[in-house]
Amino acid sequence: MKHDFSKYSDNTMLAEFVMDIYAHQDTGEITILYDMEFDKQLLYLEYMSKTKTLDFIFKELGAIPFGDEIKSVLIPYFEKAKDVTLLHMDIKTNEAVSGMTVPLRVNKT
Amino acid sequence: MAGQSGIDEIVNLFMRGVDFVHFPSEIREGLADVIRNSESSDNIVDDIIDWRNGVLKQGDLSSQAREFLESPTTIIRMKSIPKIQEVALDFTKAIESNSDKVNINKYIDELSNSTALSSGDIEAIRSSFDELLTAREDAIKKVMTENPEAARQDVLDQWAKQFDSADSRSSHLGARAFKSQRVDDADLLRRIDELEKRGDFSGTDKLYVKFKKRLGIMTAGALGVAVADASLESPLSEALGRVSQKDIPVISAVTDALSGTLALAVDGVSYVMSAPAKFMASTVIGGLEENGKIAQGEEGDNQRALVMLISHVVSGNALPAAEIAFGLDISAQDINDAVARAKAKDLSATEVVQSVYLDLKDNVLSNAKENKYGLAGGAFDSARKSVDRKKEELTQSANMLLNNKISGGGLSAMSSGVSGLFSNNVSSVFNAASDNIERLGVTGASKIAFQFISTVASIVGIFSKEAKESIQNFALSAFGIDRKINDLREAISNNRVVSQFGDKFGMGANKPHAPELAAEL
Repeated sequence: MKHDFSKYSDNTMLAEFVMDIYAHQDTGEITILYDMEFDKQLLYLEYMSKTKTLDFIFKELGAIPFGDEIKSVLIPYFEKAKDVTLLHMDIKTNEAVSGMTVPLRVNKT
Repeated sequence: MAGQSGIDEIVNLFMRGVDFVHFPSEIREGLADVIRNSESSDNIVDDIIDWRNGVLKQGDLSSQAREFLESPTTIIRMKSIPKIQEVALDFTKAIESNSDKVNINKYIDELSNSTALSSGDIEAIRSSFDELLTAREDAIKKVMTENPEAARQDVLDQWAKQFDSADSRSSHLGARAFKSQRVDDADLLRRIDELEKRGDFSGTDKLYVKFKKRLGIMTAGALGVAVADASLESPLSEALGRVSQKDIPVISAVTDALSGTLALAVDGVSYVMSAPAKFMASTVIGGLEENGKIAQGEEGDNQRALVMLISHVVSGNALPAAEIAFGLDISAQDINDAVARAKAKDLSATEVVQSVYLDLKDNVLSNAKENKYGLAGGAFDSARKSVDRKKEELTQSANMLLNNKISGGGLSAMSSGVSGLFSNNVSSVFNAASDNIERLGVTGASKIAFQFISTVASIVGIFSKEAKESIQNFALSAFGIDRKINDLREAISNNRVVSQFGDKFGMGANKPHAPELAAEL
C-alpha cells in the first residue's frame, strides 16, 4: 500500500510519516509503526473518544494530530489501553530501529 | 518432680526466645486448635500466653493450665516448637514465592522425622498448612479475577519486595554477583504472564519490572564493591526499607545533613544516597551488556566498576566513588585530573562525563592488563580492604571527589544539561517511564524515581560519541523491541491483529511490504 503524503492535511503525523496502528486482539496492546525517527521529544498520545482522533503530544511542538480518524475496529483498544508502543521501522529491511512506550491518555469529554 | 520439670522446660524454651505468639498467625491458630481440640480446657492457651507476657505469674496459672503444661504431650509439643517454627517459616516463604510448586509432604516429613509429635498433631499441622496454601491461592485467583488493577499493583509491589530482598541479600556477595545474582520469582512471572495475556499488565508495567530486575542484578555488584562489608547487611536493609517509605524531602534532608565525611559514620544512609547512582549504573551496564559493549572477563568487570564509579561521581557520592576507585587502583587525583582535563575543554556536562569515562576507561583497562588482575580478583579484594584503610585516607579522597562534582549542580543540573545531547527517543522513553512510575506510586517516592530516570538519561549520554546506534539499541533492548516485533508478526500470522491501514508495513508478510515506498526513500 503506497503512502500518499499529499492525502493528509499539513501539520499532521501522516503528512510527515508513514505510519500504521496495530492492535493485538488478545492482549489489547497497541503498536504504532513509523518510518522515520522523531526529531522532537514525544511525551504521550491522547485519544479523543468523541472525535475518534489521536494526537501525538511533543514536548516542543504540543499536539500534532495523527491525521486520520481512528478506525472503528481499533476504538475498543484505544478506550482501554494505558500506553502505546511505538517502533521506528527501517522500511528497507523491515526491522525495528528503535522504540519506546509512551502513556496513552483517553479524553472522553 | 515431673510437673515442675515440665514448666522448667517451657520456661527454658521461652527464655531462649521461642515464642509461639510470634508464629505466623495461621500457624499459631492451627497449633492452638491442636491443643484445644485435644484438651478439655478452653482457656489454657490464653493463660499460657498471658503467663508468657507477664500478665499472669506462674503461681497464678490455673490448676488446669498447670496440669496441661506438665503433661508429657505438652512437653513434647513445646519442645517441638522450634522445629515447627522453622518448618512453618520455610513453608510460608515457599508459598509466598511459588505457591504452585510447594510440596506439603516435604515439610510434614521433616516435622515427623525431627520431632516426637503424635500423628494426630502432625496431621493437624498438615491441615493448617493445607488451609494456608489454599487461602493463598484463592486470594491470588480472587484478586486476579475480580480486581485486575489490584492484581497488577500486587505484582509490582512483590517485585519491589523481591528487589529489596535481593538487594540486602546480595550485599555480601561481592563481585561474583555481577554475573550470577538474579531477582527471580516463578510465581510472580506466572502471574505477570496471566495479566499480560488478559491485557491487564501494560508495557510500562513491564518496563518497571525490568528496571527493578536490572537494579537487583546490578545492585549485587554495586554493593559488593562500594560497600564491601557484610556486616552492613542489616543497616542497609533497614535503610532500603526507610527509603521506600519516605519522600524526597526526607531524603534531601538526610543527604544535606550527612554530606561529606559525616556520611562515613552512617553507612546505611550513605547507601541510600548512592541509590540513584546504582540505578543509573545498572541501567547503563544492562544496556551495554545486551549490546555486546562490555568485554568478557576481568576487563568487562572493570568496565562495569568504572560505570559505577562515574555514576557515583556524577551523583556526588564521594565515599562509594572513593571506595571503587581504590578497588580499581585509580586515585582520587586521577579522577580529579580527568575531570579537570574535561572541564578545560569547555564541554557540556554530559561531554565532561563522557570524557572522564573514556579517560578513566583507558587507565582502568591498562591497569588491569599490567597488574594481571581484574575486579573479580585483586581489584575486588582491594575494594574490600579499602574499608579497612584508615578513615582519614578514605575521607581525604572522598573530600577531593566531593569538591569536584562534575555538574556542580547535582543530578537535576546533569539531566537538564544533557537534554539535547542524546536521542530524543531515549528522552521520551525515560519521561514515559518516570511518568508511569509516578502514576503508580510504586515506591512511595515518585520524585526519587523521577530523579533516577532523569539521571539514567544523563548517563546514557556519555556513550553518545561511541555511536548513535548504541543509544538506539539501548532503547531497543530496554523495551524488548525484538520480542514485540516477533509477537506482532506472530499475532498477525494468526489473524489476531487489526490495523488502521491493513498492515501498511507488511508485518504479516515478514518482508518489506511496500517496495515502491522503499524505492522512493
